[in-house]
Amino acid sequence: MTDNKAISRETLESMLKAINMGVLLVDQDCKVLFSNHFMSINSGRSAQELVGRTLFEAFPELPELWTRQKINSVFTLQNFAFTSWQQRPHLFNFESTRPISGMVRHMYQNCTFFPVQDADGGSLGVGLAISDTTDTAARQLELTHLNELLEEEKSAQALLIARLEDAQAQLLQSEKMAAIGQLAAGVAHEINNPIGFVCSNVNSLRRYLVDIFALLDAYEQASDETHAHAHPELAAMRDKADYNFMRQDIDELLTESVDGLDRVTRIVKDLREFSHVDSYEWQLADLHKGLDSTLNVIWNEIKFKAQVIKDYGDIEPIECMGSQINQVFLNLLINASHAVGADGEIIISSGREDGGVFVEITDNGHGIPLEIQNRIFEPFFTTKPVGMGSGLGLSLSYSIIVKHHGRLTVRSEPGRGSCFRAWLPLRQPLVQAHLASAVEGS
Amino acid sequence: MKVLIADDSSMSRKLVLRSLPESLTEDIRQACNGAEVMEAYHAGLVELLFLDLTMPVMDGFQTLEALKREDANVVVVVISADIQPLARQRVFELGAAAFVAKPVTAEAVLDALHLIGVL
Amino acid sequence: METLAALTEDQRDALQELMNIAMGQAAERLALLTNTMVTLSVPFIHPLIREQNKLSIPEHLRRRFMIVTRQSFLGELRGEVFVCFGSMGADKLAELLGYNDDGPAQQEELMLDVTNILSGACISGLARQVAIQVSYDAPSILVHREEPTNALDELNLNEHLAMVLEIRFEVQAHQFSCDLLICITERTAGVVIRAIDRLLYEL
Repeated sequence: MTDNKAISRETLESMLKAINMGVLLVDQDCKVLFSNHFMSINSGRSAQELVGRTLFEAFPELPELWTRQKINSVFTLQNFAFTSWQQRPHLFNFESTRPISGMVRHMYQNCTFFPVQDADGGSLGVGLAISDTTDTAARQLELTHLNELLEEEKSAQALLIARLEDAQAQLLQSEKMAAIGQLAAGVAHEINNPIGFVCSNVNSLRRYLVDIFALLDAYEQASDETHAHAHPELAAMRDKADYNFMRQDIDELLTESVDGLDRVTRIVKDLREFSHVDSYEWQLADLHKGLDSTLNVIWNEIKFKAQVIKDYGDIEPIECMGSQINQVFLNLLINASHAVGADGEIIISSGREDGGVFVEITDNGHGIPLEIQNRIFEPFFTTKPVGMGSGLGLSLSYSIIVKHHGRLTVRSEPGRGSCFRAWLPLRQPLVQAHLASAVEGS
Repeated sequence: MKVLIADDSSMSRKLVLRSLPESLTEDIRQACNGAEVMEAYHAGLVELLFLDLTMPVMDGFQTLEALKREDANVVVVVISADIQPLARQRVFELGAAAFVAKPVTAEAVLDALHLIGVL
Repeated sequence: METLAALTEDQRDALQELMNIAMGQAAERLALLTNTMVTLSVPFIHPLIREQNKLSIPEHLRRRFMIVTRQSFLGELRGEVFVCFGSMGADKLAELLGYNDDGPAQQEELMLDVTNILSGACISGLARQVAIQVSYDAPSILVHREEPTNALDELNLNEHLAMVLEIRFEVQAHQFSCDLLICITERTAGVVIRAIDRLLYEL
């Protein structure tokens, strides 16, 4: 290498002064042998005040045990040692080197400990190099902080999105149901007329056929044996048409057709009664009729799932909005049918109570766990996957009953079944009824 | 003397061999692990043993234990890279006569042999 | 990889022995500092399988470590040491090394210290035997994971690796263990091999 003597002590010292790093030299007992300009500026103590003292006298903030261990290990093992601002941000308690713009109060430091030999190669002591990493540290910390904030926002947003998606699905479902209701009512309305005149035509046909057959019978009676011989083609025609069978069959065909038409008429009537699009009026309604028509409407859906037992009590008509009460019954019955398993049983009972009428729908299904029993009337609360049930059913039912000044309660035992009980007063308070009609009647 | 050099590294064995004086290389064998050492011992072929500590199958410590159990009349010089103070201590407790740290030099080996009176 | 695979039996043996000695020195230092007994494994030298710039870590090193530190060595011998720390339980060890707090920063500092001591000793030990000089940079934490996924999978190779040496240290008394992966670049691995050849020649 180059000739060491050409670089004087003064040159070295001025270099150590110029570099923006702290440089210390200590012996094995941590006594300071050398300290550079950086150390003086930042500690406020001159080199003369530092040299000759122990590190801990010069810089009381240093953790003594740890520092001695560090110095000792470098001395013994003769290798380098390091500290990083990330684990040990402020070894020396120096003020921040960004006094105006910086957000931190103390200098962040990376330190290097290194063995120093004397001219003969023997161990002289340990050197410390302290570098100011305040800038890097500040930037890093800010980034980390920003990241944390971002993460928080992200999760909050994710939560919000999930809830919005849920609500949207529920809304869609309830809109579908409303649309289906309207469709059903519309279809019913359209079918009504044609069914009407088919019905009356078939009845006329029946009457005419009675007369026609009477006439044929009379003709038969009037003709005698000679007439029959003279017109053998009549017997042949009779055979070909299978007259006896045909006559009997015509009766059966007509009876079946009338039956079929009756059924269609009933279904149409039920649909219209159920959706009751034409009436938002408070009326006196017989709840049993409402229950029956509702059952008819959903019969296809529950007939394979459960046996329905009617335990109707003695009730009188109550003042209510029939279509809405039917909605409640529909919701409760559907729920019951979903809850039951094999040997499913739904019992509908009713009776008078407390100046009003109650209807109970009891099932032997899986029941409702205790901890959610007081949540089931919450809007959007559902235990079913999206698309199956709106989560609005029970909450709507609840609010309908409440608007009727009634009560909707539940008793349930997980594993044994549930019982929903709706109680409705016989009459509504006068003022409320008028107000309600005014608002809802379009 | 019947000499045995035990070490899993052939290079190491050669180094030890090279550092021995001629008088000790007349009746000399090599082994790769402790099991081979015990075989040779039972065949009456070991009086002076140079033993490495880190060997597969049966390491140096286990070999020393085995020899001690049999009250073997073998002079053991441990030659090892494992130079921890506790390792050295244990080696002597188990009956070794000397310890030479790797990398071996001829001087170190000869010094040890002088120290224990073999040379 | 090609370089390593092309080593002769004698060369491999010599390299193994060199690492053995370097490890012994590393263990002695750790033992001196902590006043305990350190267990050494036989150094395992294996060629590294490289798939599209990613290291393929041997199975027994997967799923065990959670923190990986690194430290570079520079000079005539060039590369990086990765230290994989498994279960900690290094509280006593911390005390012995002069730490008396128990926070995550202290744990990290402890691991960085251990990294520095072990890498320094192993590499210096090796360098001394092949008569070359090395210097070091500060150790740092490479990966810090809670889940036991393979942290080393995230390593991206940007230089050919000729040699990887695997060493396991255990301080049983304190349930402390770590695995060192010493990775030497292809270019400077030749220095080691030439030194080995010289040694073998002298034999």
